[in-house]
Amino acid sequence: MSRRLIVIVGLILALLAVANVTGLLAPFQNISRAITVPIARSFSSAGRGIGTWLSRPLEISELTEQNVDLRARLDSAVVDYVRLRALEEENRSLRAMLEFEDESDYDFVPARIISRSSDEGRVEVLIDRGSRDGLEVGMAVVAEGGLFVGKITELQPRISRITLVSDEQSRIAASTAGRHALIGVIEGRGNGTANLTLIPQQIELNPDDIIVTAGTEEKIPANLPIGLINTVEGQQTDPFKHASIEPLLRIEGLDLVLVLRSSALRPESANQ
Amino acid sequence: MKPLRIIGMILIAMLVALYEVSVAPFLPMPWNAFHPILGILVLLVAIEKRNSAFIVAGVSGFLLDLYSTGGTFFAVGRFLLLTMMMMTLNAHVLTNRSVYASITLVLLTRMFDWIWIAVASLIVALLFRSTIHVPSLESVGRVMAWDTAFVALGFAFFVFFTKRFLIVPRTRHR
Repeated sequence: MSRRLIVIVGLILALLAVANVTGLLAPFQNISRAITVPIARSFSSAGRGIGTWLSRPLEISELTEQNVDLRARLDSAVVDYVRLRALEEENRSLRAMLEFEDESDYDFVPARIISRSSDEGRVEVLIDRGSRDGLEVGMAVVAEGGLFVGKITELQPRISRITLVSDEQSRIAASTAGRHALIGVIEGRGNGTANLTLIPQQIELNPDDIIVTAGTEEKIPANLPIGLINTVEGQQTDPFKHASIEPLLRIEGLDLVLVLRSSALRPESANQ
Repeated sequence: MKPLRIIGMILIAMLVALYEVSVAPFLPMPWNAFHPILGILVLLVAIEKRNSAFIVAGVSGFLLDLYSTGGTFFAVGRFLLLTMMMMTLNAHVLTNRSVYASITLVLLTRMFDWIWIAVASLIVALLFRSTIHVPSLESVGRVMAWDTAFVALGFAFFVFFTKRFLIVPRTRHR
């Protein structure tokens, strides 16, 4: 290889490094993203389709085991459901009596996942919405069924990085359903599971208790379902106990998500 | 280099990079370990298409930096450096044009890439107290297995379907 070529490539590398660090590349990167995001979106859809097709034969035994477990959970959930429906009916009639106007402070911004991390321990995805859609770092992201997915940890004009609950670096303030108080912090373990830590000894937790967001973080509302308690561990003499959590959400099937954006941050164009 | 070839190379680089960031992560093991960019660079270097190799390295690295969720610290710089390293090795060390030389080249390049990420991670941790994820040797091993298969098949394709490595009978030179 000629010395001239080495010098030219070296110079290009140095310029690129400087431009990258100083942010000079940002406008060019934004234009490139604007052009390539639709292609990336189609590629990720195709990737999910191929992934589902490829993993189907491998999952049969896993699915059978999961089916038995879910049936058991369904039986207990049915009882809860009947009770909750009765309470919901009662609540509705009471709200009507009080002429209560149900106003949510959040808009749901739909977004598609265009890439995800393939590194061990990291459970992060990129979505095709960014700061130009009024999103901010720290906002909560939920799946279509309302399950908590994670929060925005990095923002670009057209894309955002979401760190999911089971990511090793994820920390989410948590509570149990109906408690309305912080009981601990969910720390991701990177392998699709998470731990609920710093639980005071006096808090009583049982397997299959539903863990929800505590609402103590500024941009994450309370009561977004996260997962179920698997096991609770810790000696009576310890100041805190911890529990392993099984997230309700499976990342494999995740395609569309909703970002909870405070209605105050709605872009001007969306109000018209 | 003809403009049409440049456009072709840019399109190939874009498709391959988008495959790595938007398709491969959604595939189950072991399919998700197929990362073809380095294999393509090795094949381009093996057939002496240096300019094409630099175009593919630059464009695919740029796209990886745009969309990757981690572990691709300054991919454009990494790929350009790796291409230069491949060319030097190809010109001075692995001088014979064989499938074995190409496989050795891709495996060496993959190891050098891993070392680059590990060193960058160390420097970033010391200077900026930030983290860059370094892939485990086990996952690098899986990627290397795919690299070997891809380069071997690519090389076989060039041998059987092009005149690139045509062996001319000695009698014709007499």
